[in-house]
Amino acid sequence: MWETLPKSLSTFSGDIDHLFWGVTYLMGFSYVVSMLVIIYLLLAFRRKEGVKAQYIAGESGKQLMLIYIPLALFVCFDMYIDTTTAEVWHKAKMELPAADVKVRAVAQQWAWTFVQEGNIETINELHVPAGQTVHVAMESSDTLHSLSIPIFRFKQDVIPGRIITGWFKSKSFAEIKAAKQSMIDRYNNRPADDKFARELPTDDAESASFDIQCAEMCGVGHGIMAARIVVHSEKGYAAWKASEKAMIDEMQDDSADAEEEAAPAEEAAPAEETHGAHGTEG
Amino acid sequence: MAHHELTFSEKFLFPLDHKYVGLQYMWTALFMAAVGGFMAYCFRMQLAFPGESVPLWGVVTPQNYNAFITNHGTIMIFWVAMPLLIATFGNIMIPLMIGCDDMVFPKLNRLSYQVFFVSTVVLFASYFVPGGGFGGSWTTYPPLSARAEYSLTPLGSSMWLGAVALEIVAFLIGGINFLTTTMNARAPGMKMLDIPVAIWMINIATVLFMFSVGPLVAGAIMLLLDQQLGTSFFVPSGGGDPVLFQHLFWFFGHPEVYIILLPTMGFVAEIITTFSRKKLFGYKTIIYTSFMVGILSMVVWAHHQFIAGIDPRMANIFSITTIIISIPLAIMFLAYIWTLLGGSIKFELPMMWAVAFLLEFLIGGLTGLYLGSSAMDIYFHDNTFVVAHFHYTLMPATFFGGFAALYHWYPKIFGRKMLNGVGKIHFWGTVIPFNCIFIPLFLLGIAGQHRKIYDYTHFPDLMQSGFQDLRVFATSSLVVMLCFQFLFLFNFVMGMRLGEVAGNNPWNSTTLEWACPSPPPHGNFGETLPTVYRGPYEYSVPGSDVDFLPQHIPAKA
Amino acid sequence: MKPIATDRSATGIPTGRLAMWMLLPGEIVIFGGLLACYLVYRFHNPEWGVESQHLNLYAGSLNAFILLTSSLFILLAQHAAEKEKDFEAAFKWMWATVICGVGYISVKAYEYTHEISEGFTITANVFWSFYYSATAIHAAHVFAGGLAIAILSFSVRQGKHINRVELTGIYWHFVDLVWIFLFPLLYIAG
Repeated sequence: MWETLPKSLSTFSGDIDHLFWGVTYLMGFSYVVSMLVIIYLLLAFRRKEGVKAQYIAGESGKQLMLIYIPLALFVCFDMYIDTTTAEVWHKAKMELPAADVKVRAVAQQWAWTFVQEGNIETINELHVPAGQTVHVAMESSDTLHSLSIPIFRFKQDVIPGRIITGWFKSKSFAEIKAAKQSMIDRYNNRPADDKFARELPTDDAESASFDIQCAEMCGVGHGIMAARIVVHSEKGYAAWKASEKAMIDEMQDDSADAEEEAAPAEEAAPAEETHGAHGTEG
Repeated sequence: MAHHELTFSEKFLFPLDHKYVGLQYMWTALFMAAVGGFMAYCFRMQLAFPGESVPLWGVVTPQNYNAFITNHGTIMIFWVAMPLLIATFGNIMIPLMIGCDDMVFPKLNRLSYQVFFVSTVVLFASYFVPGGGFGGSWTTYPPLSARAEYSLTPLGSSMWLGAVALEIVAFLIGGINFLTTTMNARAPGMKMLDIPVAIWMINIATVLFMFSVGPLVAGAIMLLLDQQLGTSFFVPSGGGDPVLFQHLFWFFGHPEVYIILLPTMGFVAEIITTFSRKKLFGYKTIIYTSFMVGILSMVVWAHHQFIAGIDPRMANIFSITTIIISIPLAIMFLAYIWTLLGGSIKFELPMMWAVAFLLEFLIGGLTGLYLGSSAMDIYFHDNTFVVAHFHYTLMPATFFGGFAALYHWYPKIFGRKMLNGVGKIHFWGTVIPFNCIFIPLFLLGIAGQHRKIYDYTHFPDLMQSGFQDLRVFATSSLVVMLCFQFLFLFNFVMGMRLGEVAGNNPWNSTTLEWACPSPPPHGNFGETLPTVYRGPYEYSVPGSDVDFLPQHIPAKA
Repeated sequence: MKPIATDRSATGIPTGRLAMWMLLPGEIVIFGGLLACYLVYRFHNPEWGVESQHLNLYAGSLNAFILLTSSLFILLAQHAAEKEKDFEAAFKWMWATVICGVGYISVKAYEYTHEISEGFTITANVFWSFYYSATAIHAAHVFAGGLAIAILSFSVRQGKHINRVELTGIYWHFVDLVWIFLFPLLYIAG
């Protein structure tokens, strides 16, 4: 029941996690020591009959060492945090490695539209290949939103009127699939009295899906603006693209036929058909 | 000066006497705390039992949820923390602790509460207009907040903004009084370094407030024009920049949390010295360091915007300044901790709350280091971890510090102590559930849960085994904690009748407020105002036969 | 029935003056915030120079002159009241200041009318949004200051509250100073 970080599935998520644990040890140490000192002082110096308190002004250099020596240690902790932060931030946010795949993400109240390679548009489902550098060009059509992919430790606010490009590169598909499997195992091995846990949406053999959350208040629908990221193996990605393309081509043929027949009452196939339906529910 | 007995109107309706103005703020703040607490109850019940009808409210819709989280935050900061910590104790204690008969500008003081009262009415009115109350979060980022087509609250947004603006004006007016009174009306003999820490802190907080709030007022005016007249200061389609608002907001927003923290640090200093019978460790260090905190707090604001679309290089700078601000805070904490060394400590209720503040705030402060790191903030921005962090700082500052101050000065204000047994039950019934609410939120945040989300059941990865249990546990703990607050209310009211009679100085404290009767009459000290002969913390002075030397007693010949 | 506190002065500065000097930084940060935003936008929008040319430079200059002169008048009022104890003269100088304030607002009203009739409304573009909001807030401060001076003048004429002439003067100089910044930034920087 003690929750720790989600699966770490991108090339920089491990660095962020490593920093997290480092800070946890340092801050945990600081807290435990401080707490023990405070409790010791409270007990050792509690009011006793006939014992007078001491007069310690804390102004002399020697007494101030009581402050400055622990402080020096704490400053060392701070320096560790600052230097490691700079490295990790540089990697995640200041570098932009060459793209293998480019996608666009358009946020609106209250859904995400993703445009993948080959102009494949999906709603609330982002499809990416594992192990390749993906550039995401993000924009909003109305308010601020924020694209958050927890398993990649990816997050970027999305602003109307601007296109902001972020990137991530996932680990290998084998690792990703294994991570998803362990999440499924967790569900299957849940305690018998667990009445809240929900089964995860299923994936086919060549893909694994995870949450995408909107991370900036965007109005009434912000709390249900759920989306999914589907990470494919190389094989699965090619297959997905092919099947999407086939559907698009079929629709274009259909609509071309329909125009030729000049049947005014018939609308083209509803837009939903182009949006990936992999059995993964949002 | 004639000190007549005050009429009902002069005490409770239109008071000029600083003590009664302070009490007006206090009652309003306590009432608003109940309102804010109720909102938290409602939205947490929605999270624990999504879609189900919440007792005393009904079903919480997505609009309700957003309005609750928005107004919970707004109320707690502007209508509870600031009025309770700064306006209540600033008004009541400043003249008493510096030894004069009232604030320098009593009419201005009265006006400040009247403006504050109006701001409260406007805020409530915003909930009942068509479209309902504003729900764009207390940070009110545009374009969501700038256009009714996005926020869906055409009137509520502007009324909310107007209420906050009026509250700010009330505190600017009050602040001028605090600063002028402290600087000018001090007792003869009270040099700057004889001023009690609580008074220093309230004034430093006031200066910080006055310097940092201006840009937000400008931003609020621009936002109001965007909302009502269709200007585009912050709307990109008309040439505006939404990120600019964020800078204006957080330029104030970050100092604001230190504005809330510093007064409590002041109260805790008064309390731990009194109850350890010990001089404050490093008084000068504490004062200089709090100036540093104030100054540094003005250059860390963009740590709220690391991934907001600012230049990533700027993020590096703000990450460094944010980590650096932990240093003066650590100094202050260490000074307080070492005040206990060699003391003779008695665990009266004020001391219990002061110690609880130290231990709990420390968690809040240390978890801030996770968030000050821009790299970790990529993961933690808008995450429940942030919520847990700021509740571990703001709740100890506002409530534990507020309770500490109330229990400490209640005898002075009302003439009797609060009931001890009831108080101890209230203490444990607050502190333990408090941790039970927010530790789950740290854990859920680490697991990836975002904040301001209406219904986690829409996110499969957040409905894994154990997650919802934590949400239910946190909510249940909140309900328990809220129930225990009725004990405080009972104690507060009944203490005035049943509490042990206090006398002038029930805690044997050195500062000037204990030199006048409890409660102090109009004019506080009677015909002769006190003169000061020494610093504020002369406890257990070697060679003295009493264990404390009040500031106003002349040295023996 | 003033409290004893009001007349104490541990700093040596009278409380009224001290308070006024505390009001001003708060106000300066408000105007400063607004102007800082304007400047940020201006750097990113060089085409605003064209918009600025539609402002009436003569009117702006006239208003600068009016405000500077009125600052002189209130100084003369202070001198008359405090040094010469000539309360009738002080009363007249205070009203000279007030009339300048009225003049200022009239000029601004003329400008606004003209600009709006030419289609430069507050929503025309962000330059105009800043122009109207900054100058209107400033004009509101001119109005408030003028009102305070007008009301005070009647007490001063009777020899009461003499110290407050200086306080309204400090406030008035501040309002003047804001215009010294607003005028070039809005009207001239092209």
